[in-house]
Amino acid sequence: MKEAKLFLMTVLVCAMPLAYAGAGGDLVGDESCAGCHEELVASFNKSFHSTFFKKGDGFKCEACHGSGQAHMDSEDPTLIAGPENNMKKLEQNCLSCHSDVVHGLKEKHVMEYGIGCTDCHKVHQPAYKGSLAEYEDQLCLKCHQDVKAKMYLPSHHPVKEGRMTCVDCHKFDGSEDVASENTMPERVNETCLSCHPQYRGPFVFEHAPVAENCMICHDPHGSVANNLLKANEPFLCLQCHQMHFHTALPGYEGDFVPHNHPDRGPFTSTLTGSKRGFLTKCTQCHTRVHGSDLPSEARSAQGKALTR
Amino acid sequence: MKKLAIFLLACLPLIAWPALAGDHVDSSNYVEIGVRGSDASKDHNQVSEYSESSTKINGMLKLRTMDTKGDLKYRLDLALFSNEDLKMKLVINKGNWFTSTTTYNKFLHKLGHDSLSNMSWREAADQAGTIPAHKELTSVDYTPGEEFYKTYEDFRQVFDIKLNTSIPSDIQVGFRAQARNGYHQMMQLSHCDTCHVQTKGAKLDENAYDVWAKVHAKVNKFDVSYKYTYSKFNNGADQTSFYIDRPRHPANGGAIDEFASRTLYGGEVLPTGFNNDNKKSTHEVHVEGTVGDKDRIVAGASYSDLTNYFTDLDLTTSTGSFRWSHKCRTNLVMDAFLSYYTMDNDDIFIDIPAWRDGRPGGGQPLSWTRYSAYNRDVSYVKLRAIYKMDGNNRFTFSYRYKQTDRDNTVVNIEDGSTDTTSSLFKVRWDGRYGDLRTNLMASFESIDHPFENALGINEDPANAYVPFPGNGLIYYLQRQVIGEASNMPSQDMNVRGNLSYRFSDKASFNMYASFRNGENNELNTYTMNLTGRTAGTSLFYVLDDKTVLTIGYDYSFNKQEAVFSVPVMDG
Repeated sequence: MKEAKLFLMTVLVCAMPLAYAGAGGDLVGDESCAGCHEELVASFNKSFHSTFFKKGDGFKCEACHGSGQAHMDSEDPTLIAGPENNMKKLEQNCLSCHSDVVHGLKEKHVMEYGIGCTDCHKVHQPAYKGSLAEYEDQLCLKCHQDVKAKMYLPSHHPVKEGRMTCVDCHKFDGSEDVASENTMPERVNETCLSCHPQYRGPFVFEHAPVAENCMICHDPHGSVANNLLKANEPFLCLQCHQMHFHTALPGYEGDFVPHNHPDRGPFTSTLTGSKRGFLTKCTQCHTRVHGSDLPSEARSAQGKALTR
Repeated sequence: MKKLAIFLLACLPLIAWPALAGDHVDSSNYVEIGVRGSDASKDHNQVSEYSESSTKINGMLKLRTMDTKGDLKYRLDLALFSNEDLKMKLVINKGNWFTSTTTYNKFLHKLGHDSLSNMSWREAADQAGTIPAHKELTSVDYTPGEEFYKTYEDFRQVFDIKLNTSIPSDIQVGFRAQARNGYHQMMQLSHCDTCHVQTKGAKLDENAYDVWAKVHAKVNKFDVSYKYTYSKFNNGADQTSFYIDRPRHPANGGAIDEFASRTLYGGEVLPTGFNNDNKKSTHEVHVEGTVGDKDRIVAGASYSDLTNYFTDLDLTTSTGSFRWSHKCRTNLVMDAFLSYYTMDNDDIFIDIPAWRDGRPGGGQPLSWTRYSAYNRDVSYVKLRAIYKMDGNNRFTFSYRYKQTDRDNTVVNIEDGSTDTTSSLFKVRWDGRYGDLRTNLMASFESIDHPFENALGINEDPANAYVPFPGNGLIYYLQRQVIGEASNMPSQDMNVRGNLSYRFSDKASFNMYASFRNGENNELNTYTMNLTGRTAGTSLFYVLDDKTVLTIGYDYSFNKQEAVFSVPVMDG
């Protein structure tokens, strides 16, 4: 048994150089690369990787692209790891240093969509640009054009203004998309409330859809209606509620001064004034649609009309 | 004249650029100094939010710089437009064991101003509107023309430290402060005299602080982490108060006792809408790692406790989730995901005086216990298969079953059920052909009784309009509101496609389209339908480092069909 182990070890030790040659091949050095790819080599020397990490000579072309010997000998582009050829191998080389970059391993873009490192990252650009192919606020939107279109609607989160980025809401830490069920946080609402904690409550008087899901009423990417509402008031409210019971009453045509408050007039009433008054914007009276700790006025509503 | 001003403004930066702006670019530093001008017509009906609502020119400084000294590195990004509009990020690395990340973001968010001009009405006793009747609606704006805004500030400081221990481990300590300051519009309804809405500006001073600590260790093939977060929301603004009219008949000032017996307050100055302070603490545990060559597991659990300082109401949430991925073959991965969470909010007894207390025929109790809409148990099961057909094509199939068991919110009035269950099927194709990326996704979800307002609209004309119990004088048609209403579909189909092609490093083309069709046929009132279509295309061309030409067209159509329920008042 002991001899068998000794034999096996000898074979392994002898085979190591062969294995190395097969896997990596000989290194040719940057100067050789620059012979044909002068601009690329020069651009890498000014890149974020080169400038910020300054790893010296060990951190050059073949650290990412693999051995260039075979490629240089035959000038065959398929014999080296590059974005045009052997992209997967190139991206595996990224992970040899960035093994702790979990989004490269598990998150939805990689697992499900087959997006690779070089789709979002660019290594040969000037250092001040970092390693992202585009600035953060533009990178995601380059593929997600439907979302970008929504960002141009009148009400939107300030992403196109550069005040927010997609990753403020959508996680790239391996937990996939914010709206996905694979997130570890409790619910989608938790993401919204991390920046809007004033609506966390918990309130005495609740509005059920607020507890259910913010996106019943809001479209976070953008909307025509104010406050990211999916539809303008009163139409949004009327999807779940009936019109106010005063709406159907006829209006007096003419001016009036409130009997109990002569200091408040005069006001002008029209035949359709009740529609304008009660059917324009529900939140003029029901101001506390996210919930309140204070009761509304009428006893019949049992304090829960969210008017105060 | 205005167009000329716009044209000149547009030209100004170009004309002034050589004189005013200097810019400097090398590989690790970038400085841009310039001006930013805008012209916009003001439209109070639509908030311009983050863009300028007036014609003006601001200075602008953009800076990106980095340097390395030994094993100490820093990187600074700065964009400065004004003292209300700036952004900064500073990252400092020491060796490979210490990272400090500091970010600061401040911007202005303009808020709308509602003049309440639609609130001017007096009831007529005839359909022609010639005979004035009793009910009235009036409003007053105490701060007319005032522009409301808030400045939002977000500061974050995060330290990441790798520990020199036998087990690879690291800690993260973070702090985040958010502030919203400015003036916003407050409104208050007073409606048991003349129906009257008042509005005025109020100071906004809301702050939130988060601190957290996270410990992570790599134990064998598993990454194990624990994170504790404490979050506090503090409202520093003074409470805004309004005078609530004394309850009385709007037409003659009489019936004071009768009106007072129908209201909770009146004839006094009272505070109005105020977001009370709250605090939240969260514990999270996360484990993930590989088992053998083909299996990977991710598991997490969390517990959070949210308290309203003012009311002492307490909301607790517990979550647990587990994902198991198995690589069946080199080109086939299957995974299963299980998740469960439960939320429990305190009940609270609302003590309300009896209806028309002390009045003839009155005395009906109105006190009630508020059982929370938050209370629920939610569980998911999701199965997913990812099949990589070849180097260019991959397919994803997934099925998700979800059950939401609410404690108190009825979603099916027929049997009083509070449960929603849903099944989601999804298939997706992703293609990656050289510089061409394309995908197509189709999904169908069947939802058994989605969230709804079970007592949403008036729907029972066959029933006699019964008076309020014990009171033959007043009929409340609201009591007949037993119609279900919802904007959530019970069947939802989505198809979406996207294609992008990169001609070169400088030019790319993108197009997308989507279609959605949903309906809710489970309501006892009507069938809700919704349809959505979007499509768009765009072309990018990078002229140089600073100039990108983009041309695109986007189309969006959304339609939802529902009924409007108009109750008739007879009271």
